[in-house]
Amino acid sequence: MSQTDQPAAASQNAPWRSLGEWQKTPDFQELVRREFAAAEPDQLGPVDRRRFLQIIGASAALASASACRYEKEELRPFAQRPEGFVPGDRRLFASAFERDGVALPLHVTTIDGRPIKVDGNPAHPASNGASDAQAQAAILEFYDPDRQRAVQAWSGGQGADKTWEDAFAAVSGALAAKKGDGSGVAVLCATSSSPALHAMRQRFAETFPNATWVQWSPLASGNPEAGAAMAAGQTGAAMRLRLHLDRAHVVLSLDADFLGNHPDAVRNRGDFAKLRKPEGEMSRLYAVESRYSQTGANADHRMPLTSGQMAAFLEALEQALSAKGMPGVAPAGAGSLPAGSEAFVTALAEDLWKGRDRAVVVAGDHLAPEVHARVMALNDKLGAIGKTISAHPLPAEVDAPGTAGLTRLAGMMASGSVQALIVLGGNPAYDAPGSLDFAGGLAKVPFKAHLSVYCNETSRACDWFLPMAHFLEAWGDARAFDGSYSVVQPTIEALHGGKSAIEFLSMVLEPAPRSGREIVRAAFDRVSAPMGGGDNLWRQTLRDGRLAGSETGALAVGFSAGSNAKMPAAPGGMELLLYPCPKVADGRFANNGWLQELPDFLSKVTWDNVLLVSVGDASEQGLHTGDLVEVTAGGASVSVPAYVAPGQARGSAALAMGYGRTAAGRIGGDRAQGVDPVGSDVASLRSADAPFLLGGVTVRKTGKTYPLATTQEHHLVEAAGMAAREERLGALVRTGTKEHFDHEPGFAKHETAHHPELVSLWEPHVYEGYKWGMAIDLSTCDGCNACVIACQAENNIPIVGKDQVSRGREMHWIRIDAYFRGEPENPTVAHQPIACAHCENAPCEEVCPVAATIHSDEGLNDMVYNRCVGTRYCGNNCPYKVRRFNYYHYPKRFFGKDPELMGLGNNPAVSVRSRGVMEKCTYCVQRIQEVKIDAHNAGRRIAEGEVKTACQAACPPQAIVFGDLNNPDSAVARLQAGPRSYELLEELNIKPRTQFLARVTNPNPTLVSDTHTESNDGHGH
Amino acid sequence: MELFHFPRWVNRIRLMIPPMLLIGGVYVVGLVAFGASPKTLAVGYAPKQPIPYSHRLHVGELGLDCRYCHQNVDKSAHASLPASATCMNCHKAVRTESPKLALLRESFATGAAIPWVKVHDLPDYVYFDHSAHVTKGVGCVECHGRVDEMEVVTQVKPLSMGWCLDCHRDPQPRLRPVDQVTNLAWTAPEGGVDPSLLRTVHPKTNCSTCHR
Repeated sequence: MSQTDQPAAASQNAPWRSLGEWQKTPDFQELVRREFAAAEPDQLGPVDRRRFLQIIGASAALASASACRYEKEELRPFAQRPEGFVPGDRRLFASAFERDGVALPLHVTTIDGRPIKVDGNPAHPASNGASDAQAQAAILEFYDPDRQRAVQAWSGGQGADKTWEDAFAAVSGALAAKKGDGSGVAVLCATSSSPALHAMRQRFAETFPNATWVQWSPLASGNPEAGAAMAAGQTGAAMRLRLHLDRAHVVLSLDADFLGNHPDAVRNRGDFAKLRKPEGEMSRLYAVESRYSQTGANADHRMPLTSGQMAAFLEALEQALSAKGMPGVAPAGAGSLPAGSEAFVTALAEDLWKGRDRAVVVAGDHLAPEVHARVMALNDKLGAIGKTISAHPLPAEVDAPGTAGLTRLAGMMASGSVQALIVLGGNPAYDAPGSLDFAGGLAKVPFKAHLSVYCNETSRACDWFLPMAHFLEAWGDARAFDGSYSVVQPTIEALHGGKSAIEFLSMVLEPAPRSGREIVRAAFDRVSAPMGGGDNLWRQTLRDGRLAGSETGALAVGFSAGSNAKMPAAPGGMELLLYPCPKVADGRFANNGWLQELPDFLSKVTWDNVLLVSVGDASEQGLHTGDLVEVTAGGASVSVPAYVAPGQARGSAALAMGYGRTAAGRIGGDRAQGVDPVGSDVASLRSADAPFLLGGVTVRKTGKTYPLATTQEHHLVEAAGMAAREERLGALVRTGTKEHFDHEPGFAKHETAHHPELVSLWEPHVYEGYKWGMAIDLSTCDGCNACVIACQAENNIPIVGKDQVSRGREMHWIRIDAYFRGEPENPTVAHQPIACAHCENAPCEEVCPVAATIHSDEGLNDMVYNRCVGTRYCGNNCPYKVRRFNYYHYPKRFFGKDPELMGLGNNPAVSVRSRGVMEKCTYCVQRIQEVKIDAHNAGRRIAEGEVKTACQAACPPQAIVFGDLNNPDSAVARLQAGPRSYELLEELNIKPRTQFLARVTNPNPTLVSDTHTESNDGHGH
Repeated sequence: MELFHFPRWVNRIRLMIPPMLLIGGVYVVGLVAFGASPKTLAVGYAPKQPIPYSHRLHVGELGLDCRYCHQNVDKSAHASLPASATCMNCHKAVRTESPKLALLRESFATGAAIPWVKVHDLPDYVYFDHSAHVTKGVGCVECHGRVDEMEVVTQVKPLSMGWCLDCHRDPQPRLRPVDQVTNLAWTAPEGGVDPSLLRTVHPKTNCSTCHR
C-alpha cells in the first residue's frame, strides 16, 4: 500500500510534475491511480430499457448493411498527365513560411496535388530540415473550413457575398480620385520581407505619392534593433542581431527567450544543441528571467528576477566584470538586487570574463532599448561581436519594428484624415494596443478593405472582406532571418479563389495586371542581378529553396557607445509581462485546433491563456491555480484564470497574448456563430508606449474559479506506488552534471533500481532483418513541441476539444512530460518526450483479446485498427501511458458536415481511425514501408538515415534519432550502446526499443555547492 | 394438481409451421445465394465502363504491353490508368469517328477526366504497392487473371486477406523471371524455372506490411 495520506512535500531530490504532486494532494494521488480520468458519463446519461433496445436494434441493422460490397469507386486519370507526375507519389516543393517579416524555409509535401505536410528545408541553414509547431500546423490552417470562401461586403456586422469584380470596382472607385496625389490613402500591411511586395509598395508610392504605408506586427518590440543602433552610435540605423550559439561557450540570457520566442529560434535551437552534448565540449547557459521561458528551462543556472530588475542586474554584473579587469564600466546606479544574488553574479562574471571571445549576453525583446545598448556594449567588450553575435542590416523591405508606424496611422484615422484604408493581412482591430483605439479610428474611415485569409475582427469592421490566398496556394517570396531570399511556391490552385497581396495590388495599380508568378519572377530578377540572374538560377532557386549569396553580410561596427546608455528605473509595484504565445502567436493561429490543443511547454495548459503568478505571490494573496482573477493595469482590466507557476519571479506576473478572439472561427471563438472565445484578450492592457511590460499592476481575486484543461497530470507514469518509487524503481528522467558524467559516464545506468535477474516467460523474439529503435537525447531536447504537431500532421491525429482534454482524452501520440526538481520558487526542469516505445515484451500485446496489437518481425508493435474492438485493456496495461482511445468520431465534432475539406489535408498513407479504436505511435511505419519498398525494389537494404520519423525530422536540436539497431554503425545503435542510454522502467523487463540518453547539464562548480546548501537550508523541517 | 393443457388456439399455430419452414428455407437459400453472389464476394465483379475498352482486342490481339498504359506499375504503388492523351496516340489516326470513343475525344479536347470504374478495389485500410510485387517477379496474371482474354475486365481472384497471405507465406510458386511479368500467357517450363532467374524474396506477414 502506498502512503497516500502523507501530507509532507516530496523528498529532496525526487522530481515532480506539478505543484499538486509536490504537495501530494489527494487529487493528484487519485489521478495516478486511475487510468481514465473522468468517470462521469458525458454522452448517454442514464439509459432506459427502451433506448437500450433501440440502440441494439439500430446496431444490428447497420451491421447487416455493412456486409454489402463497397461502394462503386471511380478512377479519374488526367486527360494529359503533367510531366514527372506519378499518381499517389509524394512530391516536394521548396517554399517558405513567413511570419512577421522572417521566412522559415520549408519543403512542402504534396500527394496527388494536395499539400499534406510541411517540413524544414534541409538545404537552408535557417532551418537545417527542422521546423516548429506553428509551421507544422500550417496544413490545418490551409484546409480550415472556417476560411471565408467569398468576397464579402460588410456593413452593420453583416456580410453579403459579392464577386471580385464588385470589389475591384469599389476599390478603384475609392482610389480613382486620389491618383497622382494619394493624401488620405493609407495601406496597413502585415510586416513582410517580400521583395515582390516591396516592389508593389514602390509602385503604389509612384501612383499615390502622398499616401501612407505602414507595416505592423504586434509581436516585435523593435527594442533590440533600436538598442543596437544606439550602441553603434547610429540612431536610426536599421540593424538586426544574429546569434551564433554553436560558437558560444558561455551564454547569459537577460529575460531573453532566444530558444522560444525569437524570429530565428529554429536555427538557435539547432545551434545551441551542438554544444550541449556531454561527450564533447559543453556550453554553459545562465538565465536571469521573470517568466520560466524555454530558454530558462535549458539553462544550467537560472535566477528568477523581475524584468524591471534586469537593468540593476546588468549593472551589478558590469561592476563584477570591472573588478575582473573589464575596462570602461560606468559607475553603478541605484538599483538593488535581491539578497543572495551576489554569488550568482560573481560566478557569472568569472565565467564570462574567462570565456570572453566565446561568450555572449542576450537581452529580452521587451527590455528597454537602453538595456539592449548596454548589453551590446558589454558584448563588444567581451569580444563577442562577429564571433557569437553579429549585427546585420535589416532587409530593405522591412521597416523598423515597433508601434511608431501604427501610432501615426491611428492618429491620422482618429483625426479623420484617412479616406481610404487598405489592410493587407494581419488583424489590427484585434491586436493593436488598446491605447490606440484602432477599432474606433477604423469607424471614421469612409472606405476600408481587408485582404485576409480569415474574415476576422478587422474584416468585419471594414466595408470589404477580400479572401487572401494562403501561402501554400500562391506565389510569393520572403527573406529568412539571415536575409537570404526564398521563393514561396504554390502547391495547389487557390482553394477559395483568394488572391495574394501582390496579385491584388497588381490588379489595383497596373493597367495590365500580372500573375503572381510574373511579379515574383520580376522581383527575383532584381534580387538575383548581382549573382547573374537568369532562368537557370531561377530554377535552381526554386529547387533549393534559397538564392545562394543573397544573405546579408555582417556590419563592421563597434558598440562601445552603448556603455553609457542610461537605463530605466524599475517600474513600481507588481509587473506584468505580455508575451507572444508560442502556440497561437498574436492570435493569428487562434482557429488552429492543433495549436490550441497543444499543451504549453511548461504549464501544459491547453485551450487557454493563464496569468502566471509566482508561488510566493500566490500564497501571499491566497491564489490557487484556476482562480479567476482581475488584472488591472493603466486603468484597464481583464479577467483571467491564475496559474501558480513554478519558477516565476516574485513580483512579476505573465500573460500570453493571442487569446480572446471574437471573430476567429469555430475553434478559436466566433461570437456571430455563438462560439465563445478561447482565453482572454489582453489588447486593452497594452498601450503603444508599453506594449509588453507593464508596471503597477494589481491582481484581485474575484472569488470565482475557472476550469482549466491542463495535461500536466495526465498519463502519469505510475511508478508502482508513489512512496515506494524511490526504493523499487529507477528514476524516470535521469539527470547529472558534466563533472559527474566525465567522472562516471554510466551514471544513468546505475540509477536503475536493484532488481532480481529479469526472466521472461516468453522466448525472445528474433530479428533477422531490420530492428527499429529510437534514442531520445534529454540533454538536447528543449521541449519546443515541434514533434507533437509534426506527429499530429503526419498521422492524421484529431483534436478533441477542451472538455475532452480535461477528461484526459487528448490524442497526441507523442507527449512531452516536464519533470521539475527542487523548490517550487526556482526549480530546474527536464523535458521528456514520450511515445510508444515498441517494447519487445510488450505488455499491451499480452492483454489484447482480439490480437489487434501484434509484434512485427522488425520489432514494431503493430496496431491493427480494423481488429480493435475497444476494450482498452492495452491502454490499461501500458506502463508508459502512450495509448490513446477514440471516444468519439473526433473529426466530425467541430465542423459537422465540413470535415470533407479537412480530410483533403489528411496523410493518405495513414488510416483515419474511427470511434472506439485504440491508437498510438507506429514509429511512422508508413515512412518505413515507403522507403523499404523503394530500397528493396532496387535490390538493396535501407541505408542509415533514410527513414526519418516525423518527430525526428521536425526536431531542431536533433534530439530524436531513429534507425536500425541491427546495423551496429547506425547512429541509434551507437547511442543506445553508449553510457548515457537507459531504459525507462527497465525493472519491468519489457525491453523498450526507445531509450533515453540522460540529461547532462553543465553547472558552474562554484555555484553547485552553494545552491545545494541553500536548498538544504530551505528544506529544514 | 391440475395438468397444464395448451389452449385450443395453439392448433392454429401448428398449421402455420409448414409454411413458416418453407419461408425460412427460402430465406436461408436466398441469403446464401446473395452472400455468395459476385456482387458480394467480388469475384466476377465486372462493372460497365464508360468506354467499352476491350483488353482482349488491345492486349490479346494487338499485343500492347501492360506498361504501355499502366506505366507506373513497376515504379509506384499505383499502376496508374492511362491519360486520355495516351489513348489518343493511336486514336488520333485509328477509328477517329467511332461513336464509342466520343467520350475519349471529348476528354482529350476539354481536359475532363474519363470516370473509369475501379474493378480491383481493395479496402481503404489496405496499402497495396504494385511496384513491390512487379519488381520481384509476381506476374500481373497472378492477381488479375487473363486480362488479355477479357472483353470486359472482371475480377477473377478474391483479393481477400487470406488469399494474399497464401502467397506471402509461400511465394516461390507464384514467381517468374522479372522479364516475363507482363507476359500473361507465360507458364513455367517443364521441370520448373531456373532458380537463378528468380529473385529471392522474403515477403512479410506483419500486419503493418499492408495496414498502416
